[in-house]
Amino acid sequence: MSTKNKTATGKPFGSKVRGAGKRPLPAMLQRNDVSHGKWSVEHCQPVRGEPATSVNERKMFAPTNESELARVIRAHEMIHAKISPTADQFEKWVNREVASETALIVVEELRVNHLAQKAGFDVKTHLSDGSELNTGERMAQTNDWAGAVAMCIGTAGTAGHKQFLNGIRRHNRAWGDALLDIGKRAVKEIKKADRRGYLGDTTIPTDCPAPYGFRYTEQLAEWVDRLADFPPPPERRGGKKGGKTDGDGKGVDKSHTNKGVGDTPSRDGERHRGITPSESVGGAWAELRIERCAMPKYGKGIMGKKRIATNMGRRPRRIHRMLTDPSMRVFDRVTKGTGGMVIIDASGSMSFTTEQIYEIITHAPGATVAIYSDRNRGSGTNFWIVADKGRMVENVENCDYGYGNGVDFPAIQWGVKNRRNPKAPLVWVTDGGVCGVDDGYSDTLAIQCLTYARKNKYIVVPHVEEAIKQLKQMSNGGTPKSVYPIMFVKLWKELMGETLHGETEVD
Amino acid sequence: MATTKEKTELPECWQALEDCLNSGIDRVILYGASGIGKTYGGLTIGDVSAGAFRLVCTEDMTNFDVTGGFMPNGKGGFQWLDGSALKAWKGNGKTGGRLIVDEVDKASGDVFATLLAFLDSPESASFDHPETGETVKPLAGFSAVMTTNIENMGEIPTALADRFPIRIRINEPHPNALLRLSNDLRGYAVRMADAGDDRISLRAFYALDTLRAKVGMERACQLTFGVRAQEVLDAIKVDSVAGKGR
Repeated sequence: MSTKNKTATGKPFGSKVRGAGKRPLPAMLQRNDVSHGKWSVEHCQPVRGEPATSVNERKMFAPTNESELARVIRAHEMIHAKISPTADQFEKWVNREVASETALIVVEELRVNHLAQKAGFDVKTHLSDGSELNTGERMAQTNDWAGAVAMCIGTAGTAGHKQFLNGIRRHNRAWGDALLDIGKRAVKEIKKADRRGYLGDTTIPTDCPAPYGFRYTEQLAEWVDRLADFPPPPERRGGKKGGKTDGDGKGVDKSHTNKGVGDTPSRDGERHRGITPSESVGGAWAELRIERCAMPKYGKGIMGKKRIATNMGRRPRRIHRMLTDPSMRVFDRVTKGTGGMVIIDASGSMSFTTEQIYEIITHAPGATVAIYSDRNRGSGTNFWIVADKGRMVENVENCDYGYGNGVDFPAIQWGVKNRRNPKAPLVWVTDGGVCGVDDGYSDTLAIQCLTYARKNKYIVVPHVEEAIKQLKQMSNGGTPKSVYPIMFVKLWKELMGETLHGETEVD
Repeated sequence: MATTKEKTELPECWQALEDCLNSGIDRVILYGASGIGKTYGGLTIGDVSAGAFRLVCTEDMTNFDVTGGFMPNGKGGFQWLDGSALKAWKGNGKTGGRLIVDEVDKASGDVFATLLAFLDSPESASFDHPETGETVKPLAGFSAVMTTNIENMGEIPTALADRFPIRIRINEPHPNALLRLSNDLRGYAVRMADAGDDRISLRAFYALDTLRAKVGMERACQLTFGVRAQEVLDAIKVDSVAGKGR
């Protein structure tokens, strides 16, 4: 080791002295949602993963070196201290389930970096620790599309972004182009959100958790989740994996081929461009207040299937019954079950009569049927279970429905959590006009419901006739399909750039 | 610099002090960071119409400052001059005044003992005047406010702690003291007054406010905060990024 590298102390590494050098002053920052006080600031290395800020504990780890990189990292952490949610607040945002935790974290990095640049700290030139290139290469090599999208958003607008994209391009040029576009759009979207003037606002809102400005993070995080869930762009035919690249990682292949130039953008590679963020921010669901109605009537189950033991068959799946069952029913027989779940949006926009709802109930005997509608009063039942385990109500006149929606997402979530077996069919009768607690339609809330419904294979039907048609089909052993309401179709087209087909199929 | 009189809401700590003194509590300890206005509060809050007398304790001070003593009178003789505690006992002759004892933890042993005697309950407290021979007792209305920078009240001697049942931690500058400061610096002054190792005194912000009018913010920060100037400027930049609602 050359002496040139040694510090004044003669040791190869500088001593890590607490509080030495440039020490950020988070105690100076004002927040409306958290009280001020003493902060503990400790030195760390200016590398990804080490700097951190805990607003709850008023603790910050930031590099105290005299360098531009250290300064922009200090500014980045200071902005976290200024605007980011505390651990408790963040947990509340995650529990809303509008966006995943990872997406919220990376979009928060984007928001912080944007505000740091705006405050005069040149993150665009200096915020890179040199690890981004390798991270990009690793993610492309391991086909980690979701990770690549997250990293792309987290580094967008900083010096590390270009390095990351170069790493990606070395192994997958199609991904590189797609991520370049995503990064650009992310920066554009955060600038757009900033134009409203509340991006760094820390007031306590009434409709969602604090801080106020984090709602823009959630809005974009929901978009990032959709991008990450979307299939990655296919690799281009002309691109040579691991081939020679130029300095920018653009991957120019010098060898002669007869296949022509392979970097013509394919339609598949462009599909993610159709995925756009929703325009609405914030919004919240009401609390689900459940009432189980008296169910004096009995109906035989027809929805869903269940396996029961039998003494005839081809494959013995219950071999233990050889010893325990005198009839030795070691085989399985599939029979119609009572495991279905029908969730009915009974808000005013559905204009259901009590007869229509009862008709749906009678066509789903044996299934659990629930209707929901919220009056935006903060109290009182908004979710009624009107049929369950083969029993059903005589009429639904006692249910106070026909008002707002309020609980669409909690209702369909309840359906998934409370079905009797994971394969039981789920039906959601809705017109797609989902509204939060304030009775206002929100794209963010609607896409949350739709994504969740698709993910959990809900059969979504828009009105009573279609509901009965699909339920009849199920009772006849047919395969039901979603017939999405027009509002969902339009929303999907707008936010995902493609047509929403009724592709849901259940066993 | 702000000069107009503005009506401001009292922070919790100052409201507590006002409530105590206005309710007839006559022994209060104020503790917290220095330069935050504890002495100012003692000198001005509550009924101080009979006068407020300040005593700043140091290791080298003697009982002269507390009780008083004989001084040459310029005519070849000596004359007794009352100390701060005796003056406070006597007040305006009708009611007792206010004694403010600053940095009580720094007083030497004998001064501390004398102070304990002077701050005893009105029934027990008395002083035999060396000049007149009369026994002086505190007049009704005498009150005492002690200030200290000690954060842990467990470090206060038991005898003193017994005499001062109310202890208030002052963690924000008094709003009246902030009125001297420009509006944009007041928030920083409040937050940095009790920021532990990072603390910046109110006086530093006064200096910054005065300097920046002449030499600009950057230079004023350099002159006021030295090596911390860049971090103060960066913190102000970061603090400005919040949205409309802040």
